[in-house]
Amino acid sequence: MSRILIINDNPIAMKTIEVVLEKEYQDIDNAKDGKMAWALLKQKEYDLIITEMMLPYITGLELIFKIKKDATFKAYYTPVLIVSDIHEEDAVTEGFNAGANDYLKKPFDPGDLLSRVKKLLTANL
Amino acid sequence: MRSYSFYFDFLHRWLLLFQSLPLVIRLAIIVISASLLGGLIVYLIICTHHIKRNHYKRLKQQILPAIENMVLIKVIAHPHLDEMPAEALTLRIQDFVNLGFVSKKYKRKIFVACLRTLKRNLKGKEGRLIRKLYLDLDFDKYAFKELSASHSYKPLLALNELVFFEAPDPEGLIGRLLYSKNKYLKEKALEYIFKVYKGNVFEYFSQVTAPFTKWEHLHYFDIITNRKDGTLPEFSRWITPPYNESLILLCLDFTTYYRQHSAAPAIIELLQQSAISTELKCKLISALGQLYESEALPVLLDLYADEKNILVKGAILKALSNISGNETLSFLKQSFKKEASPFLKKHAARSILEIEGPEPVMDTLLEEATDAEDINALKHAMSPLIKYY
Repeated sequence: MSRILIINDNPIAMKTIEVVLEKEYQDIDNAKDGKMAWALLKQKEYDLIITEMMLPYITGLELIFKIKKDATFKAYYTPVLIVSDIHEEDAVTEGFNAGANDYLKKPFDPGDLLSRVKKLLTANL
Repeated sequence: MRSYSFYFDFLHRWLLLFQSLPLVIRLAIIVISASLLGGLIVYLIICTHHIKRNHYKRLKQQILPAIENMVLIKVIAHPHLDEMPAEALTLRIQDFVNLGFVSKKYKRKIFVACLRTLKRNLKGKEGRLIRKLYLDLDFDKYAFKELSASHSYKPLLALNELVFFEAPDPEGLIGRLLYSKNKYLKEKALEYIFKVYKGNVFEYFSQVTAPFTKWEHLHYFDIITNRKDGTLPEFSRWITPPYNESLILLCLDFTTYYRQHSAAPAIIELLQQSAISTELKCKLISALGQLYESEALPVLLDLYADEKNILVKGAILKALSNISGNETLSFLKQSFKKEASPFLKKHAARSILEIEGPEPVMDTLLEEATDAEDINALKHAMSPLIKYY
């Protein structure tokens, strides 16, 4: 069973992603900021990380940098999907450069989110 | 009665005392009293806002989870969402009404804010279903009522909400706001018309008399070019003198964006009129160039010969880069050699370069050129790092 971590500071947005994913995945954790996410990543192993770009304490980008910095870290090979309302091309490029595997712009189609998640999880397996 | 006379006597005594004081002291008392009173009023307003905000915050904390859960379960996780279009689905509105948040003003506000956040996150069927829920709960009717509020910000917020949810306006209430004195309201109403109205939105262009600002120009261009539905009119309809210049400029942008070649005769006709501004003249010339109108070549060449304004001449040289041909090329070469202005030389050189490419014409011109100014203009034209308009 795939374990997913959702990181988002907006409770409604986080709940929305969770409800969409719950149709197919049950093991979902969530973190409301970068610090909390980092603590969870140190404790548990995840198959997919879904993060927002703008987060309190540690931004989404900084978090990805931290994850991808050390190859011995257990989340190093975990695929990262950014779901953000930042639409600028520069931000998307920055996200990919940091090590994200996919970038989904808000507003998103739930079907699109599900298919991307499926694709990333399959690639991870 | 006794108490009234007591107060009257008290005030009378104070008034007598006040009148007996020197003028400076009296003025000082008035100023101090007025500032104290003003301070008190401001303090009371701040306190009221603070109380209201806290009340809203507390209320939000209390009811938001219930709204969120209900919307997520009944809308986002709707069991038949994959089977039929969002518009055909039926939502159990009574469940939402039973929450008791629809009729109360503040609770309704929180509900709408929640729906907005969800719609900002979701598109596709789910996004359309959230819009359907907003309309089925008649939240649009409350927003339409707010349009006639006396505060200037309330109608603006309501209009913003209606634009966001693309609520239909069967009574044409928003159409009336197009002529509002409040420019923000007017701008938002026009955004609604362009974005939401399914009829012929461009009829507004025939009625508008006030000129658009540069910002409105950009804003309307963005809204209209992002519309997915509706048929486009012939924008040349508005490229004639009775319409104001700003509207003509906007329509010229649409003409070139949608490549409406049929607009060329109207553009040429307007260009041949003497009483038009330099800005409009340059834009008309540029539009002819962007439409690749070879029929406009004789008109542009005649205009160049008669024109004294250097900006218009520059616009013609620039537009000619899109109308290739031997006649154009020889004219550009002549202009490059004859013109004294470095500005025109550079435009001529750049247009030659765009028609013929860097070789061999530019090299030949570079070999032929003896004047330092000519060599400089050619080098600038050939440098991809230098841009000039």
